[in-house]
Amino acid sequence: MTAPGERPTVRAGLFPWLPWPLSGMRWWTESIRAERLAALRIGLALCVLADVLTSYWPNRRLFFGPGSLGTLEDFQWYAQDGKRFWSILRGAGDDLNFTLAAFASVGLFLWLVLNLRARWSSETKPVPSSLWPAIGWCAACGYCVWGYWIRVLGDGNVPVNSMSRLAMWLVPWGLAVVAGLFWAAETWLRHRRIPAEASLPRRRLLHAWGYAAGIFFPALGVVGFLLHRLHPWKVGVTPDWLFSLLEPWMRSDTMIAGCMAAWLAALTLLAAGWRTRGAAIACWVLSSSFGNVNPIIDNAGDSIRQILLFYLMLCPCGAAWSVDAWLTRKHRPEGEKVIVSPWPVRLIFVQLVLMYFLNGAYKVLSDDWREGKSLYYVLHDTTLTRFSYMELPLNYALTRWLTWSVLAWELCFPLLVLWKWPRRVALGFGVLFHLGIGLTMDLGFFVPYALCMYLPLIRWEKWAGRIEPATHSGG
Amino acid sequence: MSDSTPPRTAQVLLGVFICWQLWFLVSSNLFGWLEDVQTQARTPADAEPTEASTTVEHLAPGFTRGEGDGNVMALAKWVSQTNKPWAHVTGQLQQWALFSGTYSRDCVFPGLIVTWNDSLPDAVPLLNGEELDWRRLLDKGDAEIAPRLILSPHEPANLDSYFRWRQMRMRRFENALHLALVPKIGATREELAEIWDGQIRDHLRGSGYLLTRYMKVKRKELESKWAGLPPPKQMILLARRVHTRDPDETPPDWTGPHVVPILLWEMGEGEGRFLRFDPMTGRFRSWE
Repeated sequence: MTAPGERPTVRAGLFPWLPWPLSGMRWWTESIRAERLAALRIGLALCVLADVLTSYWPNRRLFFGPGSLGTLEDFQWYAQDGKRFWSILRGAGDDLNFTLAAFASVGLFLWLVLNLRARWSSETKPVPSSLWPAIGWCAACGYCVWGYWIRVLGDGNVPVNSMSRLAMWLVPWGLAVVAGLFWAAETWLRHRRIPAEASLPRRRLLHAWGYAAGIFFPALGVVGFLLHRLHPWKVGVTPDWLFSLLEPWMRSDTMIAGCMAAWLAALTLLAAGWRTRGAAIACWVLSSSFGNVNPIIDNAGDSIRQILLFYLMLCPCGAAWSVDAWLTRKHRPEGEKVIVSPWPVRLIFVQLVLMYFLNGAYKVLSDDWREGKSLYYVLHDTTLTRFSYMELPLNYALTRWLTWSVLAWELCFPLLVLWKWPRRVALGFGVLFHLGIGLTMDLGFFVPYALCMYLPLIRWEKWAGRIEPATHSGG
Repeated sequence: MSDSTPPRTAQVLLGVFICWQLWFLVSSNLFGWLEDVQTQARTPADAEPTEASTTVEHLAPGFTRGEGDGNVMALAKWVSQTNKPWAHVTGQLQQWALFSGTYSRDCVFPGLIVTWNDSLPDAVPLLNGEELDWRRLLDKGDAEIAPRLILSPHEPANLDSYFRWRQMRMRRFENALHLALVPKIGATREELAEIWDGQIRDHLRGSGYLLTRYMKVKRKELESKWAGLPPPKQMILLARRVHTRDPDETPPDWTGPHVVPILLWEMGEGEGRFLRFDPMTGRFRSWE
């Protein structure tokens, strides 16, 4: 309950149940302000936006698509032989994409059934709606149906019989029936007049099942029937636009440009915090998809981008400093503070600690690092450096000390972050280290992405003019 | 939520996810490092054991000799195999070794020689056990148009003065073509040629598809740039190596570029054919 004079507090997102010993550690259980996640969201989205606008979009024909440096065939190995680097650009017919979508649809179906059962059996306890899992299930099923069409109509490696061709349109109709059953169950729950079932998310879920059962899956069924009747499709009967949708998108410059434009749009929405969860999912999917079809052009910065987008997709990063939050706040009391569970910030911090420590652990194996020669050679690397070493020559003794200081900092980082002041020094050194790399090395967006990992560690609420008594020093 | 309230399924699942992430982050980093250490520390079975390797062998039998994995390495490999699908699907690659092995004392830039000659170039012999007489490839021969040397836009024209601020991704691609053919101290000309020959064959086996793709893209780019010229007949990919001298050596800080041809593309009808450079004969021969 809110004490007199204290600002009301709102909890956003899911607060996890944690086992011991995590449940006994304040670091994992004490809530943090939502502004920290918002800062990460805005900072990362702006960095990726700048990256896509300056390095992906102008070179899209050079790096992706037919006749480019990253053709579908050249990097197909990245999704085979135990490698599971999926990409929607390989098309729904791709083995890995199809398998992952099938797994996702089965998992989400189980989730939906369990959620429905929990709500059915609970008269009083509020059980959250499953709008996003429902949308995800429909999308995954649709993707599988699409992949199935491509397999049946594809290159003829697998023999096709009348049964498999009938399934092209029967399966979507079957899925429409399943969606219809979910819609009926939702309607029944509403008729039982349980108070918790009358909320806005419930109505959205009901509508979602209605659209899925009445429009989405039947439309797939009709297209499946047409494809079945028009087979063989390669005789020129199938319209070109349908052909390019069924082909792997990596074979079409238009589809690649379309996906990149969608990526830009999703990043803009993510930065603004409008439809934040959907935008974050789209950003992660498209970022993975482009990264996995031409991995040669990526560096460690892109790995950091992927990891941070993964967390953003799962956490309530739109709970503050976002259009979504502004729209919600219109109906709420003035000046309320929004708190979230700290788990995304803690996991990112663990990632940061391991990243530096492992860098140190690899470096200490190298003679050059132990002898203090490395920085001298790195600054002479004519493929990486921003300017010639001769234009800003450093004393060799200084480069040796800098080499050892970096090595010591990286190896000691896990220890230094255990206490407040050493932690601040270690993190300050980290920021200077990255800025130094950014000034001397041209590593693309590695430095901005790495610095994004520091964003949720700052107490942004102070900058927002909402200074509060310190309760916890944070990561 | 009060402590007495039982957690919802979603909260439990989120907790399980957090625990899994913690395990995944710690185990994939530490066990991955252990596997790499084993690869680096592995000594031949007939080598004399050192004090350090003996101690390690007591802790983890087979670790340094590679004679079987022992329990530690079996666990590391099992963890690595378990974590890999999650890392791939979620895009959480854990290979943090910035500047640990990615920098080199030898920086290599790709270069191209584009010719309008029909015939294969003359032999390009090793001159002094270190340098190749690669400029022979620029002989005009009986062609009407002189061959052209095309340098990578990322290779500094002057190593003592340059500035770059963009095109990291293209440089990353060119780095993947990287083949540093470095002279070996004490090796005869024949021995060096044999070593380089093996290196070129290994490189083509692993990255040949990148090299040929690069040449095809460059061809397209050059043909659109030279719209008034007839299409070139041959293209040769060069490895241009710049060597950084040790800090205790006298200036200049760099030597090179030391140039070695790698691949010849005879651009006929269709795909044409690719021939690899054979340092033993100084001529181009079948890739396989």
